[in-house]
Amino acid sequence: MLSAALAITLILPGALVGSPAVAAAADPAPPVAPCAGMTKPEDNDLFIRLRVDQPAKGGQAAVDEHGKITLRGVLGKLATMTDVSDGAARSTDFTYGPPPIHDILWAKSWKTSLRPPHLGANQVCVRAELFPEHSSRHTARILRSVKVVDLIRPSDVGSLSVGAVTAHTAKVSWTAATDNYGLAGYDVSVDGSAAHRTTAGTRSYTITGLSPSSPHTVSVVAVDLAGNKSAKPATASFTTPAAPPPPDEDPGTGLTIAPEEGLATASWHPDPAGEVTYRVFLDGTEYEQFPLDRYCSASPCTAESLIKLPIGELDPETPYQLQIAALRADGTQSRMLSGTFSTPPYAPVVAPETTQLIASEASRCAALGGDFYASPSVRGKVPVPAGSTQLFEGCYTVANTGCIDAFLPPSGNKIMKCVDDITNLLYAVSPPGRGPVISGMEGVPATRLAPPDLLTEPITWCVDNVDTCTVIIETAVETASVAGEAAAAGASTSILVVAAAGIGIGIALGVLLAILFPTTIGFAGIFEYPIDPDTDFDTFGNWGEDEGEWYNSLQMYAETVKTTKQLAASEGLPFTWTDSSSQQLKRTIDQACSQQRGGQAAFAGCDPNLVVYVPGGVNRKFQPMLETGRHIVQAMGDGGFPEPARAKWFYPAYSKSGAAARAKGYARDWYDQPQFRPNVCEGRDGTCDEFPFFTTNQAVDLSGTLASLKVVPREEQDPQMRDVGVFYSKCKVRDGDHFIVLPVKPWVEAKGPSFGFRVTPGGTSLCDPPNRS
Amino acid sequence: MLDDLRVLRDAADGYRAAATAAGVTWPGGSGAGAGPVPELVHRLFGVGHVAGQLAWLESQRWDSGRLFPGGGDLLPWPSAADASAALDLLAYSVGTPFPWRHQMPLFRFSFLVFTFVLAGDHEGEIWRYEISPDTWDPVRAAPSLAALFTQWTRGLAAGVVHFRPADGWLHVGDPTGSPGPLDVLRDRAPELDPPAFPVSLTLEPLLRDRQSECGVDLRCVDAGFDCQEELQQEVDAVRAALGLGR
Repeated sequence: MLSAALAITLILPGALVGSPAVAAAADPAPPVAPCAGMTKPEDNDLFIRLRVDQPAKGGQAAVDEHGKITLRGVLGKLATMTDVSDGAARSTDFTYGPPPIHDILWAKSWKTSLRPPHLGANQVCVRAELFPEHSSRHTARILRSVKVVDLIRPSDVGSLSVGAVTAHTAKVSWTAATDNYGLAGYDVSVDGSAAHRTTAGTRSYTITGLSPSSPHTVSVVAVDLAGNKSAKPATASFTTPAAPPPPDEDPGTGLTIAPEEGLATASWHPDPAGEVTYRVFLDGTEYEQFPLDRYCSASPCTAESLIKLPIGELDPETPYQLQIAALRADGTQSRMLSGTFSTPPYAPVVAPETTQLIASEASRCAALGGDFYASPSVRGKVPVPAGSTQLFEGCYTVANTGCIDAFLPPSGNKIMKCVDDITNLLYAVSPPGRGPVISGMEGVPATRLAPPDLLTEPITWCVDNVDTCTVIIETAVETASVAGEAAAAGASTSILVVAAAGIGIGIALGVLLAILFPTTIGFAGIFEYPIDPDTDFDTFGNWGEDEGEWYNSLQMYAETVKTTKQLAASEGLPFTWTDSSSQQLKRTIDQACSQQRGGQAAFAGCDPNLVVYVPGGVNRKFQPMLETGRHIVQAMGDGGFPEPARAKWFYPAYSKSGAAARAKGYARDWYDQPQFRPNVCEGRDGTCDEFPFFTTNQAVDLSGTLASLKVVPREEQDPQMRDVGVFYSKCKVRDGDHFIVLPVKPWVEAKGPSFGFRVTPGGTSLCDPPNRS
Repeated sequence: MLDDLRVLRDAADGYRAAATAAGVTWPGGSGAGAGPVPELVHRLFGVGHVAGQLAWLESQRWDSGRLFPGGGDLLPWPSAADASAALDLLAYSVGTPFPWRHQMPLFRFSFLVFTFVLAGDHEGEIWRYEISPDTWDPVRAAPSLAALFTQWTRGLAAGVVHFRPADGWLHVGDPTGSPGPLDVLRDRAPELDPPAFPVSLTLEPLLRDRQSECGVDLRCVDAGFDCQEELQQEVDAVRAALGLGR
């Protein structure tokens, strides 16, 4: 979901990457402001005698019904007005007329209007000239500070309707309001509670957390960029229906199905007297066949036990049909269990309310002339520059924006090598090293933890119709969501990249990176790698001549994809890379590289000289280890994100003969020792498989987290042991050397073979290739 | 060393009685008599005859449960389905003083395999190999089957092998788990021989001494992976010659 959102703003123009022409054209001289260099508010001329009567000095100007302010004054009869400008807004359309009576002898009046770029403090530059075509040309300038206000409320929200009412939720929709200057969004309040703010482009809201059979009143008001609210709320009332009865066991089959996000668990009571194995069909296709005791809650498995079958990799919001054939020892069917279920939608990483609030308040902050806006989750962590003024909570103006002003609103790709309060702030909130930033998403989707502390990926938020921008300081995951919200909010966004050489602004991040660095730099996490499974990796391999923060991560991705594709083709394996599995691999690599960097630098790529073990569903000699491979995948998040404490398992160090564990007194069969019982291996019918491996510095509980255990078929023990042993040897992993374990779920499921490779500054080598001989 | 059959029967019966008394549920229907040795066994291990002692043990049908210390179980005669895996297990037997192929996997433990040597001067001996990615610990577990059973029986009597009702297995060591199994063997039953029990000897000085006594090629052990890879290639060649798949 995140990557899809970012695709809107982060399209990588590959043809431009690294192009010198682009780099040369990308650092234009900033435009010169018309009143730049003035040392006092007026720079007048004896013959022009320019005067600004409205707004008065230090006065206030209210925008009219068209969102404009009016300016008027007088000047010499022979002079003409040049222009009036306020930031990027400029007017050259003047009306001249008689002056006030006491100026009648020498002057004429002028009047114009323009739309100020933002509310709040503005500086208007008024210019006039005399004899513009003559060699004795005269000019005059007045720089007038004015506070722009908006005193006009937005119109009332039109019809408000309530639909899709369930026992716990309801969706409300409304028609658009209008405003003279600009809408910030809508405040939705349920039963008088605190309002949820949406963006101007979002005119529906799903209320959650309601009680069944309860009456409710919802009201919606429009809020403009000045904070004015519409006069009369639109209201609607509704009553939630009674809660549906909880899903009972299907009385015909005894099957219960509990769908969750992306998976479901089917449960039923076995009949050990008449059932030996089960064949499972999902939408008519065989999904799995397994013996009675594999997923049984007890051993031995009795009629009172419960079989709990996990069903994974399901699409969201999709109906499925499940059939389970219970088979006798002779293979005949004793009964058929069947049921249907639908998966719920994926929950977004950042709550929609949060995204909407940030987008709405960012618009408002920009419209008020705010220089930066800190999202609620990062307030208090952002060092507010000295001399800042808070316009509203989280929105500030700063004393010095001289550097960034020359580059906003963003157009094209630029690098700022100057500093001001905003750029200093960005450096302060950026990761150490200030390289191209990478996401701090580690662990967030799976565990719903709070976003990481590191503040990265600031974005500029520009309100199109007022042509003004603010910089949003927020967490990486919020940036992704808010960037995706830009279109709906009637705004545009671009990414501010904090780099060692300066601050870069660019709509097309790839181009920007090409400017920052002479080679292509990959981004991971919430941003895109510049490669995908269809990349010509032979060409990619040539990139290695240049340095790049992400080069090693990219090499790991490339080698994994290339090797699996070649093997899938040569072995006829049912395996292809999809967008989803490619994204999973990138995330896994990011997490592994983060661990290689000590678990803190979630924004950095891998260090060089890394060696990688990719476990398969068969070992490198194509001997069975499907359940063992699945164990590693499951222990490390099942294709998603592992429990945070397990993330370090991506990067163990080899401990020869399990010396690290033995030194702590742990027996080789530690899982059978009383202090570690009970566990899943007790009384097993098979082999007890452990991950991390016993031959690492993370064995047993040396990582601080108890190793994962799983009973796997005995015939997998020897192949898996050899697999690891050959990897150590062939890839020259020495005692104490670290290596990366890179589980690839679809590769294991396709029964692809294990392999190992090494990435060095000189390139990538497949040091442990699969071999059927 | 090949046991006298009567001695072997007595040792096995003694172990069964001790294990049963400790709590192990011993399967019924044993003692069916020595049947013919499957032809596959001869072909697989390259031997013309198989000792009656092994045939007798296999005929007891004690392969249906975890009857031995450490949750170990008796491996039945290899079948066509698992012949390839049986050969693969032998690839751990680097540096043995007898041809690697002249032995049959007989007992399987959590991380160990015990084999029965089928021919030559070492016929009848029980050898042990740890199934591990990076250790090559071949050593003789016992000079004969009867000696092995006797060690286990004494272990039960000494209390260093105990029954755990939770899983119905016999475990080596202290019921509390501390000290470790090998320390318990050494400290509480010094008359017993640790290699006969399914405990890891990796990194233990005892192992090196015992390997020397048994005639293990220590240079091969020290070569580790290289020696095993060479042996694995031989195993693969035999497998291919026998027409066995993986």
